[in-house]
Amino acid sequence: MFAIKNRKKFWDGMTGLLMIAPMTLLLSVFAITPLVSAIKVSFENWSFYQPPEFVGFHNYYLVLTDNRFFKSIVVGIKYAITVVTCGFVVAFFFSHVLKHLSTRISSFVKTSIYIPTIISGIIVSMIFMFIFQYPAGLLNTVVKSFGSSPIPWLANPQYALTSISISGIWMGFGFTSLLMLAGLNDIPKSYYEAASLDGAGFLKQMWHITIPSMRNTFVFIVITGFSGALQVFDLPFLMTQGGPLDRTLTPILFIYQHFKNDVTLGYTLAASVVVFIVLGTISAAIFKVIKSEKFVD
Amino acid sequence: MKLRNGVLWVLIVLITITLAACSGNNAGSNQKSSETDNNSSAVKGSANGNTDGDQQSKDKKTVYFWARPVSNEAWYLDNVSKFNEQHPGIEVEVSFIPEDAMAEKLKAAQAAGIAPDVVMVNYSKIPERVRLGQLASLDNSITDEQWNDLEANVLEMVTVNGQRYAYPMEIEASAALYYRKDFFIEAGLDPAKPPKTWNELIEYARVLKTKDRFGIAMPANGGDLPWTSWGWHAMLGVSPISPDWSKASINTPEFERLIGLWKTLFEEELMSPQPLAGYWDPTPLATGLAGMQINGQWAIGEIAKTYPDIADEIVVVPVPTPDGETGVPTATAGGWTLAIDAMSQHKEEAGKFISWLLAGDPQIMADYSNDILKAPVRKSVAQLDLKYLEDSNNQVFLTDILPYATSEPWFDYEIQIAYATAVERVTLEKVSISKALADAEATINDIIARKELAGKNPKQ
Repeated sequence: MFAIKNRKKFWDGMTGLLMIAPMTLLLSVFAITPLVSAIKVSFENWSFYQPPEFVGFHNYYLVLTDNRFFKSIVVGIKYAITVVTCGFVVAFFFSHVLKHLSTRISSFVKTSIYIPTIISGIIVSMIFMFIFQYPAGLLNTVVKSFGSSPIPWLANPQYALTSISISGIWMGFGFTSLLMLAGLNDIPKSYYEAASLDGAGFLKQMWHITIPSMRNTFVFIVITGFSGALQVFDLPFLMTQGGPLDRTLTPILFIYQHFKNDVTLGYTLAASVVVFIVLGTISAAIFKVIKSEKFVD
Repeated sequence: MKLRNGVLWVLIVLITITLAACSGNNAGSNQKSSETDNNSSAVKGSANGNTDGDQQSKDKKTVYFWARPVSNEAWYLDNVSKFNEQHPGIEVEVSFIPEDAMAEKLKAAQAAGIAPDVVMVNYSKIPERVRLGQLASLDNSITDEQWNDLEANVLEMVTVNGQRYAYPMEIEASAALYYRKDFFIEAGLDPAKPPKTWNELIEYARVLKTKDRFGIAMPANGGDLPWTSWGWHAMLGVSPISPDWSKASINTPEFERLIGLWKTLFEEELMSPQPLAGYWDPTPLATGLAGMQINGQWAIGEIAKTYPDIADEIVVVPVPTPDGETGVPTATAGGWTLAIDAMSQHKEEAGKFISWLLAGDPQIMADYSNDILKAPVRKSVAQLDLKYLEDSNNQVFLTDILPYATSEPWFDYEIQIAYATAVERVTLEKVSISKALADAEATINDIIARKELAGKNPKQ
């Protein structure tokens, strides 16, 4: 009896190991090996055809003393805060509207708002370039109808990042709204019924029931939204090429520029590793601030 | 029992994945093989690549060639096929790579040690790639007579330290002034008298400007300014970095005057504060959003293709110079050349192919020119019957612009970004020109120090 139990335990363990083996193998080949290799090359000056020259932390020194790199991190953070915060608030309220719509209208609206999510960033950029066009784009036509002068939305250092952020919010709004809706639908109705009997109004219910119950949804949206927004590339690449005056130069666009123009890979990879660390730190900080807990019914 | 079956299935799936991965690796690592392989996705373009039996196939030396076709795949396939037929010991395999993916794909292949034997290289990339040991000399493959078929300024562009490393395939000027005759007549200007000086350029822009049209479309943002300014610098005979790359040379009266031109055009709103389109795109002029436009040589073909209705209204002249000087550069020359990868195992065969294709029978490159309306690079090709020469605007490039054009510079791109930032600070932030140039000087000196550029110019 004991031997049979032991054998069963052994095969259970083996099955578990074999089940995770394909993903471990794929992760090793496509994620861990390139990461280790990238870290190694970031300590070298390597131009492919000459033996790599070990330079220690010199590439990191170059990255960390580069003003443009720091500016790009600040631009990335500003963009992420704008897109995640605005997207979050708008989606939170919109999901409440969706929840109370009739099934037929709700299905139509859900499909409509999800369309921007499945459109590629390139198409979104093209659409918003038409909207922000100077002097006769859609937005400037509205501006002119009020008697004001047209505004160079994508070329003015004051407005460029905001303009790109609006496209980012539009692109992610549908996905965030549907996640919020799923989280809302997951909250048992009995909570609200009990709260109503106790005399709690809409705001009290939202503060004491809705928000605490959706904490895990919030964590997911903020973490994925923030790390996704910090890595934005296609929108600034196509709409402003990082300008004007580097006001929309995001970290990944900065890295891409160096990958394209530098003759060695060391600087590009050192910058990538630093961005990787920044992203990891920010994600960990968000986890810490919004403690993810198992929801207990 | 069920558990064991489950484990068995997982094992089978794992083995299948591993085998699939291994077979995929083989396909990728064959690039440098000296024998003709059968599992490449590249187009062989050869009539005898798969008919003469195994032995002959094994004796052949395969030359891999990455090309960037512009709707002229047939020209590549036909000529590669002809070359393979005429050279029984060599098998050229051509792969088509889109232009915007070429640089990234080549870099990835170089890092993996599987770069093709014959590569397309832009003129401006040749010196740095030679310094880094990435290109093999072409001197043994091309005869003096073939080199002498090139104009002196073009020959200089492919020469580093006395050796030639690439043979030109095409050449394009980065800038010319395009304008429309109908707009000139409408504004009371004589279409036969284009602006020749910077002051005239400003004056013409003022006259052409209307409520719905800017006087001129020019590069104005940090994306286009860095690479489109080279011709303007060459026109003034200046560079933002000293020839030996030891110090900044941007804080000069010439640069002050150049940025002053942009400042005037911006302040008077003669050009749009937000680019009306990318620099390469002739839409602003073609659709009437601008009365004149600075654009590259490629715009002629683009206008003929996209805006045929107004093509006859377009006139092309060299970009005006500060005081109307003639015989000076008004543009840089860019474009593609073919070179041999330094790690190629078949340099001799690759050299034979380049020599045959680009420097051999002039009719081959005449066909290339006729297919996609590109300017001929060789003197012997220019003497043939070319469609390109039928358009008087194209003639302007051959006679008035390209003979004086200089190569695009090969110094660190961040230097050029520093120049573009200076222009943007003046036009967008209203910083004084002297302050913007002083700051740009400090930035460039900082780049030189941090990247240890001093003394590293490969052509010094």
